[in-house]
Amino acid sequence: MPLMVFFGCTMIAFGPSLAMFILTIAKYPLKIILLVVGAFCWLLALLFSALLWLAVVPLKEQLAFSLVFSVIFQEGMRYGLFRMMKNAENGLDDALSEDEKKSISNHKLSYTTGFGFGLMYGLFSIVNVLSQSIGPGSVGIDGHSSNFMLISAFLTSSTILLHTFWNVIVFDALNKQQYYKVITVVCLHMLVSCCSLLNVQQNLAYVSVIVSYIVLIGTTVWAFKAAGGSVVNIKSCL
Amino acid sequence: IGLYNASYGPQYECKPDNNPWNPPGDGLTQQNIPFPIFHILQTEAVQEIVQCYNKYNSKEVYPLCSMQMKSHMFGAVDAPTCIRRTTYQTTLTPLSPEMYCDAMGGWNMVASLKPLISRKNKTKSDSTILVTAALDSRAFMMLNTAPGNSLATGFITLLAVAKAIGGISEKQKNELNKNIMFVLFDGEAFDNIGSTRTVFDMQHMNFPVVKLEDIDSIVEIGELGHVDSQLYVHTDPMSAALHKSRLTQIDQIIAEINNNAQGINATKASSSVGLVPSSLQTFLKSRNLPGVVVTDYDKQTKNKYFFSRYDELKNLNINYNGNTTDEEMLQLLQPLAQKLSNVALATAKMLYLEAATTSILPPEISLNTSLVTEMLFCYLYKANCSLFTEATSTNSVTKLPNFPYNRYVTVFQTSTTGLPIINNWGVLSRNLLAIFTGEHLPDNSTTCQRSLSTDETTTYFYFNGKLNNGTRENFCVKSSSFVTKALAPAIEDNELTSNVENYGLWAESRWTTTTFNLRMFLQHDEVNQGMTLLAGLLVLLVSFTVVYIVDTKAETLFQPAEPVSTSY
Repeated sequence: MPLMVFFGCTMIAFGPSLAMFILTIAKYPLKIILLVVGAFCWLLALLFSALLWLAVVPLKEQLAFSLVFSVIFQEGMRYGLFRMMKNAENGLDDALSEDEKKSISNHKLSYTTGFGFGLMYGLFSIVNVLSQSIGPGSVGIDGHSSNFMLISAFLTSSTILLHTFWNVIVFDALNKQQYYKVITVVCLHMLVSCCSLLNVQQNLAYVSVIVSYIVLIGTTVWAFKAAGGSVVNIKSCL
Repeated sequence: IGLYNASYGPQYECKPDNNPWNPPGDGLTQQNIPFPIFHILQTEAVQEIVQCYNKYNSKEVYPLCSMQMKSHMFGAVDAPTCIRRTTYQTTLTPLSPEMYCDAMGGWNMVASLKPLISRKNKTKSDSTILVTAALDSRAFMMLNTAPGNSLATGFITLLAVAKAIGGISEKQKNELNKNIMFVLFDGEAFDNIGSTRTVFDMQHMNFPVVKLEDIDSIVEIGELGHVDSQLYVHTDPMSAALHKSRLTQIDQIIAEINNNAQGINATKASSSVGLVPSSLQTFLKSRNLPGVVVTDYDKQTKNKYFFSRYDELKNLNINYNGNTTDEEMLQLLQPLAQKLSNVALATAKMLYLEAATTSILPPEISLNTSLVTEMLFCYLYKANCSLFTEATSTNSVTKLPNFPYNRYVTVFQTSTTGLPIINNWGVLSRNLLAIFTGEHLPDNSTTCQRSLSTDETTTYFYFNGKLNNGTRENFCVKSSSFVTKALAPAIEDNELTSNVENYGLWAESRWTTTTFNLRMFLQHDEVNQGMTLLAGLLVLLVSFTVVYIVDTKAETLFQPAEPVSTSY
C-alpha cells in the first residue's frame, strides 16, 4: 500500500504547517490576506529564478548555479516584501480597526508573511514527490537512497519553518537596522540549500537533513528571542 | 474446425493418444490465455530486467524489484462482438469512427495456366485441377512471425511447379483437356481463412470462372522443408473408400510422380490416421472430391518448430551467420533447392499428364534449380534480391527490405474504392505466378497499359525485368490471374452476417502507439511503509500540541523586555 507512504509523507511535510495555519492563521481574515501576499512574493522569486534558468542555456544542467541564484532571488523578494509592508503601514493604520490591528501587531505580521512564503516553497518542493509516492513503485532502483520520500518530507517541513522564522528575524533586524543579522540569515539559507545538493549528487541525504535541523533549532531559538521571548518568559509560563 | 469428428470412427477422434501430427507442439497458441504477453525485442531492456531480478529478488527480502506492464487493446470479448461494435461505430460516426478491431484476412492469389475467357461469353466451364499451397504463417506478435520456413517451402515449390509447367507454349496451354489453376491461400494459418472463403465463394458463385463442381481434383503442396528422397502423398481415406474410381486416380497420380521423378520416391501416406490438416480438408467438408496433399512426412511432421518463431532457416539445416555473403547463402540453399526442384518437376509432369490426358511429355516442362534457390533466398533470407526486383511492377514504389518479409496475414484491407490492398509478399507471389504462367507479350509500357482490360480474370503486368548493361529490360505479361478475398465468410461488406455461426472468425484488436508500457521499480514492504505513516501521524500530533501551547501562552512568551520599536 504505497498510499501509506503518501499520507505519511504529507503529514510529515505539512503537519506543522497545518497546525500553525489552523490554530494561528485561519481565525483572522487579515492574516490570510498577508499569508497570500507572502506566498505571492515567493512565487515571484520562483518566476525570476525560472527566467534566469531559461535564459542561461549553457548552465541549465548545473543545479548549483540555479540554486545559488534562486536563494538570492528569494532573499531579495523577502526584502521587497519588507519594503512593501513598510509602505502599506501608513494606509493600514488608518483603515484597520483596533481588533484587526491587534491581530497583526508586533511580529505577527512578519510571522504570517514568512509562513506564506515558506508554505508556497513547501508546496512546490514536494508536490511532485508526493504525486509519485502514490505508487506503484518506490525509490531506489538505481542505487539511490530508498528513504528519498521520507527525507524530502522532513526537509520540506524544516524549510517551511525556517522561512517563517527567518522572516521574523529579518523583519526585526531591518526594523532595527541590524544588517549583520540579515546577512547571517542569507548565509544560513545558502548553507541549507547547498546541503540539499547532496540529495542528488551523492548518497548523503542524511547530511542535509541533519544540517537543516541543526540550523532550524538555532533559528527557532533566535527567532524566539527576536520576537521578544526569553528564558524568563518560558519560566513564567510554567 | 477440422474435417474429422468421432462420427467418422474412433480412430479419428480428437484424442491425445490418436496420432498427433505435431508431437513436440504444446498447443500454446490454441489456448485462451487470460493475460497479455509481452515480447521485448530490445536486448538491453531484457538485460536490465534480468539484472534487477537477480539483484533484488533472488533473496526474497524487501525491497523487491517489480514491474508494471500496461497493454491496452481496444478489442474486447470475442471477434464477433468486437467487429459488431466496430460496425456500430462506423455507422454512427462515419468520419472518425472509433475502431475496436479488424477482421483478419488477406487475398488469395489465383493464376490459371489455360487463358481464361471472361464469364460473360462463357458457355461451358473447364474441369479444373487446383494446385494449392498456404502462403502465410502464424504470428501473435505482429512483427515476429513464425517465418514458417517449412511451410514456405510448400508455396515456393508451387511457384516452381508453375514455372516448370508454364514453360509450355500458349497453343499447348489452350489444348489442355483440363485447366490447371494455381491458388495461393492466405490466412491458412488461422483456421484456413483463405480456403474456407474460396469454398464459400465457389458455392455462392462469387469465385471467378470456377465453380465447386468444376474442380477435377486438388493437389496441395504442404511442408517440404525436410524432404530428402521420400515424398508422402496424403489422401482422405473416407472419401477414397466411398469412390473406388478416386482411389485409382490417386494411385495414378502417385505412379505418375514416381515415373517422372528424379531422386525422389513418392509413397502413399498411412491412411489409418486420416488426412493431414490442410486446405484440402476445407474442400472435402463441402464436396467429396479427389485430392492429395504432398508433404515430406508420413504420420508426424518432421518440423520440430511447426508455427513457431524458431522455424527459421537454421531449422532447415541452413547454417549461416552474420558474415555469410549472399553468394555463400545461395550455395547453402542449393541442396534444399535441388530437392524441392525434383519434387516440383515431378509434380509438374504429373499435372501435365493429368490435364492433357496424354502420355507424351513436352520437353518444355523443365526447371532450373537456381530459380528455386533464388526464391528460397528471396522469401526466407533477404527480400532485396534480383528476382524480386525483376518481378516488381515498374510503377511500384515499394522498397524491398534487406530481411525476409514476415508472412503474418494481418487484417483484411481494401482501399476506399474497394480495391484490394495486398501485402508486399502477396504482391510479389502474385507477380511471380503471373510471370510463370502468363503470356509474355512484346508490348512496351504504353501498349501494355493501354490494353488493360476490365475483364476480372485477365490482368496485364509491366515488370522491371532483368538488369542488362545498366538498364532494365522491362517486359509485359498478360496473365489469367486474379485475387480473391481471404476473409472469413462471416463478414460481407464490412458487416457481420449470420454465417458467423458456421464459420470461424479471427480478429485483431486495434491499439495505439502508447498502448504498451513497461515500468520497473522497487517495492518496499508494508512495515517500512507503515513506519512512514506512523512518523507522519506523530509529527502531526506533536505539531498541534506545540503550536497550541505556544499560541495560548503567546502573550506571556513574547512579552518583550523593552517595547518593540515599531508598531502596526
